[in-house]
Amino acid sequence: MIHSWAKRAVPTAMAVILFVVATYAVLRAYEAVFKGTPNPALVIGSSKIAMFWRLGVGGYVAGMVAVLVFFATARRFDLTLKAVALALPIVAALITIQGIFLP
Amino acid sequence: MSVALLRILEHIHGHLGWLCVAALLHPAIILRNPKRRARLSVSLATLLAVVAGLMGGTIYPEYRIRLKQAIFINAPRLGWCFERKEHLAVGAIGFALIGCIAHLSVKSFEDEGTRELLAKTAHRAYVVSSALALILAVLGVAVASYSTF
Repeated sequence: MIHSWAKRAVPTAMAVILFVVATYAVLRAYEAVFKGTPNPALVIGSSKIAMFWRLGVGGYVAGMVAVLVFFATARRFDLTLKAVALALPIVAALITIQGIFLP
Repeated sequence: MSVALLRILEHIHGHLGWLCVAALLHPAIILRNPKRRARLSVSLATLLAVVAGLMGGTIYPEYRIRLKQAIFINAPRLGWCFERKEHLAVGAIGFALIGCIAHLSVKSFEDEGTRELLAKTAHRAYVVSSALALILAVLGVAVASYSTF
């Protein structure tokens, strides 16, 4: 079945948000595990707000993924939607584990 | 931004946060039935989550400048609780948006399998979002009861 652009935008939009959240969690987890966080009690902070920076990077990655997902929906819509639905609990686990154990 | 304005924004943000917990729980419960439609509930709950998140994002830079270091010096555990809150908020808002998109688009598909998958995805997204919202609301109260603007 060939779906309209509006219908193809549904799994694309869902994938975009999933990738923003996933990228955010992976970036923070990477920082926490491999780079180490400066002690906030000693450092006032930098002009770069890390949270907004991670969201920005997440948006950039998600923007690239959006193109791929949108084209994927043209060929295999059902499969793409299933993949997005399957990714949901994985990303949920990712952000929860990162948020709680690697703040 | 003046301290008085920050204090007002912080209080509204906190109250909106708890309203979000209740509002997000509603679709998480009623969308267990994939046939159920709750467009208004879903839209308003998601809107509330986005508005609360935007308010949090507005006062966050001032929190970093005015409060963060003092909290980490005197009560580092609470400081880390706030860090946890900001990460979980990203997830809570993201999953609320996903649930909203999935639920509002169900009707535009004719195929029964697609409709069911979208309905299930919307329900799961709201369950995750409401659970994260509850955790971050509790963490927010813990930090706010220790230090405010």
